[in-house]
Amino acid sequence: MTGLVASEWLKTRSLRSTWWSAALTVAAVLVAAAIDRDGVFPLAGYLVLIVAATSSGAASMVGEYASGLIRATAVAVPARSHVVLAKAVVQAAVWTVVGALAAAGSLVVDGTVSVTPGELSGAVLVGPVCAIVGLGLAVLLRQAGAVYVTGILLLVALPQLLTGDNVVVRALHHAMILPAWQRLTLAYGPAEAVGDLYTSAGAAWLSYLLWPIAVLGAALVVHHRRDV
Amino acid sequence: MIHVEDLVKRYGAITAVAGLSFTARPGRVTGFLGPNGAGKTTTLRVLLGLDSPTGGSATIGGVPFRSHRRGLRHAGALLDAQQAHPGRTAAVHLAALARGNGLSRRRVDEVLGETGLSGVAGRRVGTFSLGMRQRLGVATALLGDPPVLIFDEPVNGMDPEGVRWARGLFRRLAAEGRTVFLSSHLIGEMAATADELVVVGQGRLLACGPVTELTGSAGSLEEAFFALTEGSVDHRAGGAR
Repeated sequence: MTGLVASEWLKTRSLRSTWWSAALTVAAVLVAAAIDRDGVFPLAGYLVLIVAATSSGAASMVGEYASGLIRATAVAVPARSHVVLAKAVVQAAVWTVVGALAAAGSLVVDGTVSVTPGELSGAVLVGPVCAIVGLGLAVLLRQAGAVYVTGILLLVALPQLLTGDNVVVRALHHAMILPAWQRLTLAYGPAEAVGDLYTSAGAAWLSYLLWPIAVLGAALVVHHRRDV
Repeated sequence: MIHVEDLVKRYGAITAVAGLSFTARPGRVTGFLGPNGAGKTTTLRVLLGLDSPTGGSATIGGVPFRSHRRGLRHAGALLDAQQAHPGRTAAVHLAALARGNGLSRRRVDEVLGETGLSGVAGRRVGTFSLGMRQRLGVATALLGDPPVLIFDEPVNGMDPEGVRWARGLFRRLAAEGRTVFLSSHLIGEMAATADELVVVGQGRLLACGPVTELTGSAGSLEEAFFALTEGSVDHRAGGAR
């Protein structure tokens, strides 16, 4: 597996788009942090990060299908699920680093050190969580347009649409990744003040954990069985 | 050794391969001939584990290709000139595949040299001509120094020098004791390169055997091919017969 991870890292770092998207994402978070003085971690900046991480994870697989590289990859590695796992490792690592840079930058711009480890982890880890979800969606859907639209609808638009007092709608809203990020980073202020607009911290961590596991798990099963 | 037995592959209602059996042996260049839509590419895809068979079996070295965790040491393939990311250089494309198979970086330089791509190793694949991409595909196939090599229309887009080079390469690979399996529409190329032929039409075997035997009394391989495939051409210009 280490050889495959090195292989996927080489694929990732050899594309200029990797470095552009990472640099622009960090810049977007910093600019948003400078403008938005409400909280430490700016929502607008993190929406950019969520979209960029999802797209990056997706691109690592969409690029294989679109260029036909997937055929060479599948002949080189008949154990196809290993390739998806190696991509997940690389994407998670890249977006943990980008997330850490963005979070550190937000702290500097905000001029604060008063965040808890929970808030900090919530800000950093949303990157790798979204990158893995994006990768999984790309394996499942394969077509670039379908992957990006689904990713953005699912991770960014849907949480905004799921509003209101209905119990089911609220539960669905709380299960999404963006509301989990909002809870973990206390985007609307302290939990006591916000009330049940927030999910619980435990449920938020569960969203961070279960979304990537579920989407990547489905992707591994489908990719193993389906014709390439 | 390539062995295909009673292979059936259906995509929904379409039957691409309908009970095909043949063997391609080591030390020989085996040509795979047939009209468009005969099921050649599908057969190669099943052999390489890209598609799973609906029925029957297709094995390389006696085992289904997907029973290997890493493939390049067992078989190499050029399925299509479009099998590299346009944003990566030829060297990085090969290095990434080599790294995943535990092959050395030196091997990358060797296959680049062997396919005449050393001078453009640092150029992005997106800037390559079709002929250069075919050479890169051949380089990819050679990377793991495998005993079985599969090429689908390898000389498409190659210049005359490239075609001659490819012909020599295939002959040499077979002389080294490898199984070389070559799919092409170019009958003249087949007559010049292949020892054995497998001729298919509409997913079925029409004929197989040494080139000289198949050419037989027809005079040329081309005449023999048209005689064999007369009843199984799906797409013929000039309207219904």
